[in-house]
Amino acid sequence: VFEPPSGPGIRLDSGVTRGSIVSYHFDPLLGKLIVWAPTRAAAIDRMKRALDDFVLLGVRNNIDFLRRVISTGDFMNGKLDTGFLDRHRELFETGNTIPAEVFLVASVGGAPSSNQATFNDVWNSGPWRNA
Amino acid sequence: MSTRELHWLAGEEDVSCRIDESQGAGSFHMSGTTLPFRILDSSHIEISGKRHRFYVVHKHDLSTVWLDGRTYFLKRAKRAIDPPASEGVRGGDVRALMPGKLLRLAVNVGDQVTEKQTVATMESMKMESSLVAPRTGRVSEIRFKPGDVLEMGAVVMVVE
Repeated sequence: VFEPPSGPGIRLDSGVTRGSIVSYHFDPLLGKLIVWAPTRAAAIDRMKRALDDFVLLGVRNNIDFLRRVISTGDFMNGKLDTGFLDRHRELFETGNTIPAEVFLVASVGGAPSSNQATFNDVWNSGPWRNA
Repeated sequence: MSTRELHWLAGEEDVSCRIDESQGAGSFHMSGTTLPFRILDSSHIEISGKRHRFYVVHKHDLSTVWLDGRTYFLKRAKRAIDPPASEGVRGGDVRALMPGKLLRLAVNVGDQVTEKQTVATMESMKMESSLVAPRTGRVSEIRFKPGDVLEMGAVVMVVE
């Protein structure tokens, strides 16, 4: 599933689309998300919203990690250098609590149901199976 | 109204839940909590009166859930059977660290190896990387040959 964010001040340079194969032949860079706003703070806010709106499933990716990075105080204040990640080891912690809502959605979107076609399960639903 | 029981593995945790559902709406029960829900359209759901955007992809027994901008990974547990504890990473497995191509094997089956000794070389993203023995022992099994394409985590060989 690939539903990138869009809107004023948001740009995505990317060479992939839904169904693309990410192979080992090249760097696994999927795209560059670029935002613009009049101030740094506004741009970071806009980037957070853009990352929240970025739907990408099927390949492991660093969207959640990037959101944690730009949410740090050091990033906000532009205190950046090559030692940034070494000083912020906590960014590699994903936090293990999974909200009940996630299990709900996984369960509802997963099992056979009378109106399965309404679910976003690309493997089991869609016209190519139901026809 | 239909009722379903589902079991999930989230990390180490084993989670059981129950769903009562009819026409895309119903209630969800999990560890003492009950959440009413209503499916609004293919990517929106109302849970306890709050609207959420969601996507779900299932592949084999792995489910990826995208909910309101966060991505979560869940594993479907086999019904009524506890997951075998021994499955997963075994101590002597040499695994591919990245997807890529196996270039060279530095050892043969039966060879004695020491911990951290380079046993194979692979290529990904135009870079070579070395696979090392996880422990001192004897190579009991080699599962790939040079030129084979490996998925991340594939067991290349076993050291006993």
